[in-house]
Amino acid sequence: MALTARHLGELFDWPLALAALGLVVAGWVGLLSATGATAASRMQGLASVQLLWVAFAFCAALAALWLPVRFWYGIAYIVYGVTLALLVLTLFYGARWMGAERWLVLGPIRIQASELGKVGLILALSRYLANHKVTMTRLSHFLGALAITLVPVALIRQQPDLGTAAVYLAIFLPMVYWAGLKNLHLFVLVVPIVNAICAFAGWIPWMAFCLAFVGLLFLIRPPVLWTVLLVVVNLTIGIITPAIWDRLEPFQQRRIQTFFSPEKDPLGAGYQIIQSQVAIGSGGMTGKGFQQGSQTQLAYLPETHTDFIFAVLGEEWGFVGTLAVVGLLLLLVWRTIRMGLVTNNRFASFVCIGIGSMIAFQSVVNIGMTLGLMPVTGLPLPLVSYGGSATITVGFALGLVLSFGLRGYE
Amino acid sequence: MLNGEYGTQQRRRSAVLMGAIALAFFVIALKLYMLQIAHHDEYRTRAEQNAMRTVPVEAVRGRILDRNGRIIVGNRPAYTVGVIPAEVAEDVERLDSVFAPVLGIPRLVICSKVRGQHRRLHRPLEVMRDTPFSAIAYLEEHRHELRGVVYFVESRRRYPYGRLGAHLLGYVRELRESQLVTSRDQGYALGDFMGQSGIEATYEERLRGQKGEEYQEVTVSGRVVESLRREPVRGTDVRLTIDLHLQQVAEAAMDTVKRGALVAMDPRSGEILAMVSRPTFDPDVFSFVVPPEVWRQLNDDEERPLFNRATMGTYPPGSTAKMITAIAALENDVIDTNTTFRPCTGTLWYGNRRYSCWAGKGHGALNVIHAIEASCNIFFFQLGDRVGLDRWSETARKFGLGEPTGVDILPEDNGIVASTEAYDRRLGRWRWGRGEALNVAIGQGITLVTPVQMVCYVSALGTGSLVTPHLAAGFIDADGTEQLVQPSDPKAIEVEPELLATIRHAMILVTEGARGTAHRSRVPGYHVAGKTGTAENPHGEGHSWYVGYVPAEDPVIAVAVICENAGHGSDVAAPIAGALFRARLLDGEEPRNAEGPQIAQGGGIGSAEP
Repeated sequence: MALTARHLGELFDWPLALAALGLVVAGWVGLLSATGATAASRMQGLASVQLLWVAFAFCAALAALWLPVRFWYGIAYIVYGVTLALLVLTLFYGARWMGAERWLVLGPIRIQASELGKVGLILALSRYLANHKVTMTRLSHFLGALAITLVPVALIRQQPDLGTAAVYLAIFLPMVYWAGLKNLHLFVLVVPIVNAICAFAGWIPWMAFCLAFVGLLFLIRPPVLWTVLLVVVNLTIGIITPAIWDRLEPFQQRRIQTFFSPEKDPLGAGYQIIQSQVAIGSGGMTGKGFQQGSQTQLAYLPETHTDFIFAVLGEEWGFVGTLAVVGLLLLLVWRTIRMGLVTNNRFASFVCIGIGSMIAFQSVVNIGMTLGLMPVTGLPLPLVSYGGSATITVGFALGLVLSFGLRGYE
Repeated sequence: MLNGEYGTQQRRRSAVLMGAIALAFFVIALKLYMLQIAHHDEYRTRAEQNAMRTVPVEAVRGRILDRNGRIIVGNRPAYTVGVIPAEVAEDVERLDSVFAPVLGIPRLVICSKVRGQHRRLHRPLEVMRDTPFSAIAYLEEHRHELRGVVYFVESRRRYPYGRLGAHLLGYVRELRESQLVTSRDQGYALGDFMGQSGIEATYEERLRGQKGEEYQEVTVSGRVVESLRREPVRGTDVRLTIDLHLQQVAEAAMDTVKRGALVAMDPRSGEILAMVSRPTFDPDVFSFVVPPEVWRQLNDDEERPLFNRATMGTYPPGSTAKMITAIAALENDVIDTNTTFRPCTGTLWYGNRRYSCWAGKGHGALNVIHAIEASCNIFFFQLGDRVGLDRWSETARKFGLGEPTGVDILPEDNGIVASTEAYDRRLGRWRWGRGEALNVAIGQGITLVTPVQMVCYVSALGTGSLVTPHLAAGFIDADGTEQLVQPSDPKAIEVEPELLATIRHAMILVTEGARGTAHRSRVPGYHVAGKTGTAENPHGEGHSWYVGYVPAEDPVIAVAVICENAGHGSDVAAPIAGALFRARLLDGEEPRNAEGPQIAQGGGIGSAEP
């Protein structure tokens, strides 16, 4: 395919590309603060390493842009298989890091297989759902899609990385919805998840959930069989959730407890959430200025270069800066989902929905965490957080979206 | 673009999806508004508080003075060198190569310390304590090249007289982790010094003072821009009853002794004038981190140099207990002062056992006074048999034996007073013979006493009252006002004064009589009352004892000396006490005494004559 002026002028999604570029710049500025001259010596030099990762991500995006859609359609299941193999390898040879095994060490390179696995899942699910014979009104087809999702989730649950596993489910749900899942069925799927979260939170949130649930049942009035099933399943979840609690890893329990009451553990895990809120709140309207954030520079903030980079930006660039980042992320997600709507290629459409959901979910969970709205999960902020595997994965994914824009009308 | 029914459906679905995502982003924006705009002030304050740090300021420990205000334990400055990790981050290796040789520490120690620190990067990281002053001078000269290196002055114990009084003064030592568990509530932190024995431990609360605090406001780079200080409160000085001159004399006299102890006390008030234990140790080795080999050496030494024999060493009293036997016999009318028993020929058969006198040829027939003078065992064997164990122990308890004296350095051993009950407990009922009463009468058997108990005992013989021995005379605040220690009132013992006068007469004869055993404790111009003893023990030669006081008619100093395995009391212990008596009465300097009567000069002993 020859790149013509028409391609660059009309079909190339400039807003999407510029939003991505803006986020990369914002992340790099944050990284310079987090690893600046006054910060810890072990982090110095990370900013230049991140430039290398961005360069790799750019190459991955170019590769995605260069190759035709049918190529990705053709190797979708192969990519999925390779990422599954990497996850299995991580299970056996993973390096311990921050209380969880997430890294696969291959010579000098450390790969976070769960990041690459997201692309594998999106490609495989898209190819499966793009088949015209597959319809979400048939339970077997729905279970097929669920199986494709649950295999990597199960491998990640073993590692254990609850946050990343949640991203896989967050990719799955919008994609099956896009494939034609009925509202009622979506309701059946989503309600138990909300139920479980409320049951973790305690009795009062769970009672509130029950009230809302009964109200919605009256509103939707599902068939009798469905109603009975819904009630039974949700009651069971409400009862067994405390039992599941006991089987969680201690650090997972701590994170969830901390999320619900950070002040109870101000020196442990709650410390991170409190200091992050203080950092963002003290930034005010315009922030304290580049490398002037005391929370960041005096090392009150943990993991400033990865999980809590948004807090660094919030402290040093204020409300203006955080709104800009949130706006760029929303723009990115919107352009991606819009691409899923406008493209003529059914496979490409699903890929876009998957990528858009992934970016949206990770953004909301990561930013929500720094604001105290979500538990601490260790999910990176796409394109902004430091990290090789994640940056390259998102870069490649956005390359695919841009490629669909160029080729979607063929 | 999708068309037809499918297209409409997908447009609706994308709207639902985008709507949900937009809602989540809206919630985030709302929360951002709450944090950064609505509650900005609150969080700004908290961030500013984070930029404040509190640094504890150590209080200077109180000094320990002798009774005349001379410093026995003082303080000296000690320099601790540290590095601020954030400021040395880049060139820690260069710093290490330059500075490690100056400090005389191995290379890469600084490197590994700095690299191992990931939090509190702006707080100084301790590199070396008690840095030699030459290194501090180097640091001052090369300030500009050694960015991030800081030093601060701490206060450490100074012992101007070295090992003098090591046991009574005690030592301070850095808190160990195990001690911190129990002492954190009292405001101690790791690295703080705490009194571990002797006066340092007893008066720890007064000596340690109160820590101050410095509140520092720091910039993003950790530089201090403003600081506020709450000054520490200096520890209270403790003035002791110890007389430095007497202590020095005692230390010098005891230097000839391998193991032993000495306590000198004012018998009127219980003020301890000198206290020595041998072998001794150097308290200065604890002032900084104690090398493990030094600690092990001090603890494993069989001679136990850290053990205060003056309060914790227990010994059979030997012949120094004969006054108890005599008083028990006289007050129970077993004998009178003229009674004589079978003459001493050097041996006595009791049952099928042979008991012997220390003088092989024998002393002949003696009354009780001359029996004390000559320390005749044969007389006291026969007396012991008539007095019996229980009357003996009743008298011994009147003099405070078998219970703690209440001296203000801990711990203190109770000792044991021999009695029927004590023997039953120790050896079992019916497992011991009546012959034990003979042993007890000459201070052997199971009776055990500490030197501090013995000085109280001999004081009571001299004054007729039992006092509480003590070392603290007063506490002097930073502003110089002194709070005096009120000693507890002397408690009169239940023994007839005439009887005590008889015993005193016998004890003077010990020093002055023809057959006396303590001639070497004499003081020209004064009558010395005393008694020697040789405590037999399973570890070799007898322990050499001496107890006594002077002047006999109005005592101002009482002394108890024990020299382990040193032979006869008259040869070793008595001369040491004599040196102390002479120093107290003949050397110009007199111990300061707030209320006590002036020392009577000279004078005969007429009143003590029977």
